[in-house]
Amino acid sequence: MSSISKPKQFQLPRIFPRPKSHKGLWYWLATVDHKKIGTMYGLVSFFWFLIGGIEALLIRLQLGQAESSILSPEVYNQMFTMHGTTMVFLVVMPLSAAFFNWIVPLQIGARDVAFPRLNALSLWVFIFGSILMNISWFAGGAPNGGWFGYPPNSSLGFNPGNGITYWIMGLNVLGVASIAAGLNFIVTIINMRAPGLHMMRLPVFTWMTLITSVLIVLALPILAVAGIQLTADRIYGTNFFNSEAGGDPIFWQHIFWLFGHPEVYILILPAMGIVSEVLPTFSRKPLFGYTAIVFAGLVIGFMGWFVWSHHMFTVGLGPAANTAFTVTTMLIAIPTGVKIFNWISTLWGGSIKLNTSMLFSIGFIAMFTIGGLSGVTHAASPSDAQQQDTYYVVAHFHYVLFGGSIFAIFSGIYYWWPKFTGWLLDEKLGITSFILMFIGFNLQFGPMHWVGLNGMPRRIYTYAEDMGWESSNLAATIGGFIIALSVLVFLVNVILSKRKKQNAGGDPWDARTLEWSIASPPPHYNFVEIPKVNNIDDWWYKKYPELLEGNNQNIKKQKIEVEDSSNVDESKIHLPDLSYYPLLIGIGLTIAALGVMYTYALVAIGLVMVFWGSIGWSTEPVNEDSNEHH
Amino acid sequence: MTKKKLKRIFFPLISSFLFIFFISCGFGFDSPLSTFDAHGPVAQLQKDLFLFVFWLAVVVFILVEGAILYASYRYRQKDEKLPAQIHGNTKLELMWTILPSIIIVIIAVPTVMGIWKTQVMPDEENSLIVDSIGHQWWFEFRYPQEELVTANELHIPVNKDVIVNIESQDVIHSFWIPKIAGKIDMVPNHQNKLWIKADDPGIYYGQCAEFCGIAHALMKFRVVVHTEEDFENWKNDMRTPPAALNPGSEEDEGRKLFIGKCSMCHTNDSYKKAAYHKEIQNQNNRWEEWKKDKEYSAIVSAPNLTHFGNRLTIGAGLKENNLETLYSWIENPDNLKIGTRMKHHASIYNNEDQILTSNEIDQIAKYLLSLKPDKVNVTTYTNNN
Amino acid sequence: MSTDVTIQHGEEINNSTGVSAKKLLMWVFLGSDVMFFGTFIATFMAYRNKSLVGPYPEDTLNIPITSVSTFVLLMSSLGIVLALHYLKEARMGLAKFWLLMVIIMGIGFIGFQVYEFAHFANMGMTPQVNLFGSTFFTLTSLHGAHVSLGILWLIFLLINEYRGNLNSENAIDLEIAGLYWHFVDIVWIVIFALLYLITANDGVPPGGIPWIGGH
Repeated sequence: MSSISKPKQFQLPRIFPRPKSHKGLWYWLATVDHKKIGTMYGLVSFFWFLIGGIEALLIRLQLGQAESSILSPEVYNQMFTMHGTTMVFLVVMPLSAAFFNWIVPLQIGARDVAFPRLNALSLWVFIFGSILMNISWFAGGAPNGGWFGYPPNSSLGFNPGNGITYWIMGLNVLGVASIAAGLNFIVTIINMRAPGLHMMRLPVFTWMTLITSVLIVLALPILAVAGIQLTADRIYGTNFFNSEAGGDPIFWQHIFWLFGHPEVYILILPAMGIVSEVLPTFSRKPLFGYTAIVFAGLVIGFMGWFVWSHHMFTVGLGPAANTAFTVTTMLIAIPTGVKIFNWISTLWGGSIKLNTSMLFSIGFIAMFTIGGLSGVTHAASPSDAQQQDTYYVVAHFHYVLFGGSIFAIFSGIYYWWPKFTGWLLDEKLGITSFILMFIGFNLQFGPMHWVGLNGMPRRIYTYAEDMGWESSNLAATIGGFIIALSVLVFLVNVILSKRKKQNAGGDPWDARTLEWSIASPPPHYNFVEIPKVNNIDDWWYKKYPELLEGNNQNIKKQKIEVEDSSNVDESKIHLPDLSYYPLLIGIGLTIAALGVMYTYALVAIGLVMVFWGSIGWSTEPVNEDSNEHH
Repeated sequence: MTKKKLKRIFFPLISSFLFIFFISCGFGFDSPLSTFDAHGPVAQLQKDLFLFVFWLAVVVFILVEGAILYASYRYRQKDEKLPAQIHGNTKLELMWTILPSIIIVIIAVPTVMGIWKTQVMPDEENSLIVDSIGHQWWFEFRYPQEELVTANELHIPVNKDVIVNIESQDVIHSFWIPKIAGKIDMVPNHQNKLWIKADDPGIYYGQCAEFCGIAHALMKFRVVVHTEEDFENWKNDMRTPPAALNPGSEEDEGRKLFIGKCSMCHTNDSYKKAAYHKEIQNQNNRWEEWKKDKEYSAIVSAPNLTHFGNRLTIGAGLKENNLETLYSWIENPDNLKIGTRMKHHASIYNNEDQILTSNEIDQIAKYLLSLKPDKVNVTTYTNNN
Repeated sequence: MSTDVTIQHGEEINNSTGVSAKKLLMWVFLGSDVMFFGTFIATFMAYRNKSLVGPYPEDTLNIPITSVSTFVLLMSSLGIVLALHYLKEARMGLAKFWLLMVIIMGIGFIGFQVYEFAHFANMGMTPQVNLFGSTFFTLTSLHGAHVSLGILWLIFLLINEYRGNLNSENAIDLEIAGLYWHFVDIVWIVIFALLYLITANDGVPPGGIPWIGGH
């Protein structure tokens, strides 16, 4: 498009020139490449995984013995609050985002996401938001109201100081990151699919990303409102949860769980997507019941909005409400079961390669099934009245979030690692790590079912000697350290494998989807030529075209190489230039959030940075040389 | 993958899994808070319902996990040939959508019946009414029909419907006596109701089951289930003043100290006539005072100590009530329970010239232990744990 | 086959659905914002008639004045439709005029709100005094913040029109701002209906002050 007749586009004057080089620190701070962003998401959230794990180990050290005083109650309450908040918002969600970023554009045959700078914004807001939340440790105490922050306990009157406010500010900032990413991926998946890639040909991981993104953009605003209302109560003296003015603490629970239940599907659907990619690859046959799995995902995403008060069965909503939510909660077990049976049927009759990635995915099915079944026992409101707020609940959600999400994420790490790096992780160390994690995980959380039914409440920093809970707690503590050992083995694996640099090639697993049709790691423009897609698992059928004719015997593999990017004239490929405005906005937003707690001057400074960054961003062309901009 | 390699992976996994689950099961279900030792119709129904769903879940578990293990073993990769590329099977998929739906209905029916059975209150005319107010970090109990007030110990008669009106004064707590009934939350501004009924006399444990701040772990109570006759005795005892004290005795000195240093927060004479409404008024006044200055208020609402000598525990169900533990508590509540309002507000801990000598502590403890109704027959309680 | 990442050249669309990425982004964002406002509105409705003390809506709300400001905001939506129409037809004079009108009407609406808030404060209605104050002020302030951000955005677009950077070829940029503006207007219509019209006669709660505990 000619720009001869157009006046030069106004650009906000710059203090620093726009970065150009693809090397060095500035590159990483200003990159808008989805692959680099994905890597940064992965590294930062893995760091928080280690921190959250240490928080868990400290909890376990305290609970390993009765009447222990390793942690005081104040510190313990901060510890379990931060462990939960960290694992949900700083680990599972951004690790999922790491995969969305890396894999979705590759799976749909795109060169990047729809809005690369918005993508970078999500990353930086996440990083600074996570730092903001954790500054609280050094600023008078971390939040101590639990990851769910029920008022009045989290109201100013019963919880003075800045801890809880840090929690809310951190969550609201992180919410901005999540919503921005959700918006980006919805537009990307809907609008940027390669020619021929109809919705029902999409890889399941991309489908789950889409559904998760819709849940994110609809659910996170609800949490933001709850947070704004609680902050307003704490800082400006409003009455949203002030029982003395007629406010209702239960109202917080309704808002929180209207967010909170879709949130747990946000946490598990990407994991289900990962597993739906790994199982077919290492069974060497298609995902069984693709349509059913996609529809089950949609149904779960939809029905997940109607079950929230099963977190409130003991709040006193009355038998009618409890009945309604019991029924809706039980119903949601059905599409979940469908998925599990479809996954098992994918294994059935296959040619199964039991490498680390596959073991983690199979482990996912096994552990998630347990978590799902304990969930069904929770759905029964009368018996839930005994289970609620005991370790039985802790067991349930760790089985679905750790045995579910984390196992699946590790499966994805081992699976896509060669694509990210070009080299393979060692299998022996990988399997060792899996075995240790499986044993440690079950040792830690298995006994919690029984000790919960034996009456041990949650969120208690200690318990009496004569309760009979010590053995289970000691076992759990040992299990926790075994998990820590398994993570250590994983880290050793990364270091040793990096040294060995065993070349992976583009398609080490003989896999099915488009990301395996290009080099490892992919060139920065991903595809030399945007592919034209004719089938689900299009790459697989390019390699085994006889399958399309209905053959099922003696299938020969075609000699198809992954795309060769050595002869590409890079000057013809237009990718967006680097930009530091997302970084600026990320920092500004965090400073403003900090200012809410300390001084309006900081709020002003932060907002100026946000406005500056926004105007800079909107006046900056996507590419300097084309003078076109969004 | 070779059979040997397979065994090396799956053997430790399966065996450790089974070991963990079964051994940990053997750790037992006999804690005082066990949900498996039902002594009342509500707990019994909840336990039966749980076991019904649980065993169904076990069947599903065996089938599903069995299928996973079998498939992983039987279909392990043996050669490079592609297996049959099956995309789905409509009949099978319909079957495993419909079958679980049927199982869900089978579970839902007794569940919904159970909801209506346990969450609808019995007739008020034939029930004992108890009001329980949650505080940070103790339980207040009032008997509006009998006009009695006590704390941290709930006395009820066996085999009688009891409706507990439940509320909180400050943050959200939860009222839970696992062996008698599942829990319900204590919420400020909300009147929740819990139906409880005990089948057997004895002593049962209760604990707060909703995170309520620093001392949540240490907010417990006892439930004493009396035979009908014993319950009548208990009620009469609660209206009987304690034995008079010998002037100059340790207990009497303790009484004077108590009046001077403890009675602005702790009432201990609710056996008197018209004491019930007065105590409610007092607690409200103390609460309002505390709200005015949550940091330095000289007054907080505190457990009623009427007939404290008969209490089984101190500190809200924490330790056995005897001279040693009581001394330790009065000397420094942090010894038993970190975070109490008593430690934060009482002048005897915060005012240099008000600190008690060990002699004085001893006297107050002895005084409190002497607070028993002046009767020939002292009701004894059996321990059913 | 394209080697470009989505760079929208005016109305040229090169993607799977035929909807510009920017427009789709705005639509999804507005869906998200519906949840945001919806939760605040639900809070207001849940706490309606639950305030323990006044001032109550019947004491403070001024329906006639707020009707005028509502009308102004509604007219501004018409204004932006006209501004977009003329921009697409490259009739820059009228395009600039109408965009300026929208900005003025938006500022007028905010002016009304500021006056209203000050008036309420004078009558003792603050966010701290009761539930009505808390819910009313947070909801309307956040709406006002959305309007204000919209005004800044429109000013930015008007400046671009004057510089020639916003013209008939990239009119989609105004169209997207228009979507946002219409959304903010619709939210106000809902707020006006629920917070003003329906509650206009709310006074001391029917059935007396809600009981808040104590026996």
